[in-house]
Amino acid sequence: MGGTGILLIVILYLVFLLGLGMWSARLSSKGSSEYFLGGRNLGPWVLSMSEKASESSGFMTVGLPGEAYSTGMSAAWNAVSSVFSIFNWLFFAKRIRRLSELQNSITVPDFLSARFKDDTHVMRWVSIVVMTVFMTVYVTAQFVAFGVLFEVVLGVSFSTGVIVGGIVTIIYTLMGGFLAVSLTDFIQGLLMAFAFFVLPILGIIEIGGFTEMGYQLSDMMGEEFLAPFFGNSALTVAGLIAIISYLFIGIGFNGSPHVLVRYMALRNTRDVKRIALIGIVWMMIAYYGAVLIGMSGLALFPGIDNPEHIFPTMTVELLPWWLAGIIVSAALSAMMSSIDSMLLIASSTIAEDMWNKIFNKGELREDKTILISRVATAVLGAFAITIALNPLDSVFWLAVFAWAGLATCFGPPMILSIFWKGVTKIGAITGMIVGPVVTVVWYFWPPVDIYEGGPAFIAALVAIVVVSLFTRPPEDDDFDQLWDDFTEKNELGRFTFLPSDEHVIENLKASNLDNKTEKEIIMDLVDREYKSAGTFRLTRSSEANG
Amino acid sequence: MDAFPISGWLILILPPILFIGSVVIWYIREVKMEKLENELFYKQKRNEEV
Repeated sequence: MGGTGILLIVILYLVFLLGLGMWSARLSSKGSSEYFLGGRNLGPWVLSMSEKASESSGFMTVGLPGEAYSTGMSAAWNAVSSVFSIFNWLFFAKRIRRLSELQNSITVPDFLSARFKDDTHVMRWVSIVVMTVFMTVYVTAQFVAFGVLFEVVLGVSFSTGVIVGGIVTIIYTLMGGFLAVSLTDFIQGLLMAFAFFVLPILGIIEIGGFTEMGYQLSDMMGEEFLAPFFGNSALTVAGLIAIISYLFIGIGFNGSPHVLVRYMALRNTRDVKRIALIGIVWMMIAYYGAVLIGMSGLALFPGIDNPEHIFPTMTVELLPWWLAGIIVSAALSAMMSSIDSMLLIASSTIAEDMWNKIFNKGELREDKTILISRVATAVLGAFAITIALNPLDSVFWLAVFAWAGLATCFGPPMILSIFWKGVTKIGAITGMIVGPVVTVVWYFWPPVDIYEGGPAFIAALVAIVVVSLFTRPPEDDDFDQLWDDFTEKNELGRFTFLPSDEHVIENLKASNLDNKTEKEIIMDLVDREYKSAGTFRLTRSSEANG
Repeated sequence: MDAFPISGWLILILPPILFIGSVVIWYIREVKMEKLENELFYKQKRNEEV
């Protein structure tokens, strides 16, 4: 039953995803805000899981366990890079949500163009080029990882894995839009947390306990393997550079458009606190789970040729077939959730920012915008599948490279634009170009062997600040009004209420009689009486009319 | 327990405690501030009605 059973569960899972896509398609046909942001109706659980699942990708299931298998405890520095995600929740998310509501922007380029009054569309063009190039690279890398997992676990050919997985992901993305993507990401996020929680526990039990694992690894690899200093028992200069490099990977959280767009899709700013709590617990389980999978995997299966095969190997060897099927589905989920989010963001940029805003001056009908987005999803997806069928050698590093290119283009202007009124359009555009250019240059000709995302992010921030200081900030009344509304504070020193916030508080009020005055309670009762009487009258008159 | 050096233990234990702890503290602070915000909102509404 083993291999066939796992295959059956994976197929059932893929069919389930398609069904979910079809169901969401009915809801998403209401308009482009519904399609791209889920109508801003998604709750904190769905958005939080969706944020985490989409930013994790095959890196979590294939890359990180493989790295822990090779480098031991040093891989745990990846978990420390989660601190950049905390910065998002505590400092950026609410401001992004607030400004996107005030500007009525639904994509990241839309957000930047509205903030900087970019009538020349230079910003949109830079966004479109960077997104299309780097997201296609990223999606290609995920498709390749897809093929590898199919090959190792299910025994089907690499090409079959890439094509089948790719087509299913593309179909449900283009049918359901953000709602489908977020709902499947939610399920995928839960499945991944389950896998990262259960698998290391089973592995450590199999070894004979945590202490026994330590002794075995110490005997095999030396004590340095259990210290987080990259092959040394104490911190060295090389170790410090490696640690900084690992931490810089976390900067991607602050700039990736598929992460930032989720803050724009929040129902209201009050959901951020729940998203943060769910997200950080998920990250700690997933990151430390992945590290412990790699380390326990080395003690159990020391002779694996490719360290990145440790996750699927442990899944198949340690679990009953039905549970292995669920966990493999979770691993596929990690990749699919990144692919679908990336495809949706890239295609929404092409449809909304290029086709609608540039070519049609924002007057394109919403159904046509969605149609263009779907065509773009299909074309980009098919292109990525074609490249993935002939994979490059360094797929993993290309994925990390693409992550840096995207984050350094959008992160610095987004972050500065929500804190500093003086950021100019030319400054922001300079940063959007400097970030990806430094990423590419550092990737091919690194002056120091450090992850390219960090220096590129810093270079982009510096470029924006310097150019903004030497160019004229926007001076029209509309912008001043927008900025005043955006930064307006109440007596508590917090942002004033937006319509979405007022809606939440009014709902709270309606559900809590203690907060109501007698007059309000009576008015509510009268109102209900009137409505029910109205319904009654309507029914009676309908009956009377036959 | 002796198999793991102190630095190994620290990186396993400290970041989760610090990260989850800081988010929990922030969460509690947000909830308190939201209660105050609600009161402020009701007060403003009443003033508008008056």
